[in-house]
Amino acid sequence: MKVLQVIEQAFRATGEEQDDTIVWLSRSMRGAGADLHILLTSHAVSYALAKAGSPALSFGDWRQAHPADIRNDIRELLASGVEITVVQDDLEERGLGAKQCLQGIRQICRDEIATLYDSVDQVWQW
Amino acid sequence: MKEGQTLTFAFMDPPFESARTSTFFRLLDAALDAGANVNVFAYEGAVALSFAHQSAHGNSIHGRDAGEEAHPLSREWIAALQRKAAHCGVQFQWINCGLCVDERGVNEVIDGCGRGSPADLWKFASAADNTLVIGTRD
Amino acid sequence: MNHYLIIQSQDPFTQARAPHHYALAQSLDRAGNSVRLLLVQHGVSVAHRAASSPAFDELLNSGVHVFADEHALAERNLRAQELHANVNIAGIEMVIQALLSGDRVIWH
Repeated sequence: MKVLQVIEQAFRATGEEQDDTIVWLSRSMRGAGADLHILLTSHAVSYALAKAGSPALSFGDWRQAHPADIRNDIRELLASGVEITVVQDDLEERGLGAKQCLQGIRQICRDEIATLYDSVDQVWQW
Repeated sequence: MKEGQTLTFAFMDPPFESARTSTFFRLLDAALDAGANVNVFAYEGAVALSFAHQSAHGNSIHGRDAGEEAHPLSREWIAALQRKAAHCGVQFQWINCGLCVDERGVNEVIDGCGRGSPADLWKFASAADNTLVIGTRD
Repeated sequence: MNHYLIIQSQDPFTQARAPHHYALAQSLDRAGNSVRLLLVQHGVSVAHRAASSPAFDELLNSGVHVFADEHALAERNLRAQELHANVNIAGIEMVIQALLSGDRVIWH
């Protein structure tokens, strides 16, 4: 069974979790043998452009040791054989269309999403 | 429906926060009405749905004490669905993401709710006839 | 041909993604699929026939079949005679029947 993980939310709990929870869940399921394809849409298109780790949080004398490193998590997913696709229109409407996506991420336009949906067994919208 | 069909649901929202929670429980109830076996994978805040120490309270604004108010508690909704499943002769399995439980300190859950990982979501989904993911929203 | 049921909890008045979700439903329809869309929660607020949403009007004029959750309508005191003609009232069991039939059910 091939599942398309549609990730729309981003930077939602990355401060507390030190990762994106759905990217993390995808890595975990992939480790359990899941056949996944990830589609980055809406806010999550920023993940296709990740350049560095998130800035560390600090509150009083507490300082974060390991802020989220989305770029590494995306690269690990790609390295594990998960295809990752990003919606070009969502990048463009945010003024990000000219930026370079991480190597290995495919770009599609909105009109191509239906074809991608039809190519998998299930679509899980997160 | 075909005999013995199974549906898997993934849910992420905590109790008392979103309309998604009551919609989700309506779906679970309807699935049991249809005679389906039900698997739930509770992720993130949804692990608090089964927290055993949820406590009903009175409401002075409503002018009712605790007994009269009969405040809804999601742990009681889960228990009601467990009883309904048993009555209908179908399975109702509930697995909480264990790491999500630990970080929220909601380890004590009602009977019949287990602890697992995203691997259990994949196992549930792989064995089910269909799966619905209800993601949270900002 | 695949069968899709899109559960639409977001509305076009406060959530900019909703028109994109309507457009996706139409795109799936144009690709030759059978597509239904069920409005739930705030998603039903666009179902009133006097509501103003060009994106939803376009959806209603497409091949996508649109339904509204009776519970969400009742919460908002929206009556059947107030709805767009192309919006049908449905119970939540519609989702379960779609899942059991093997439809691709997607929550927005």
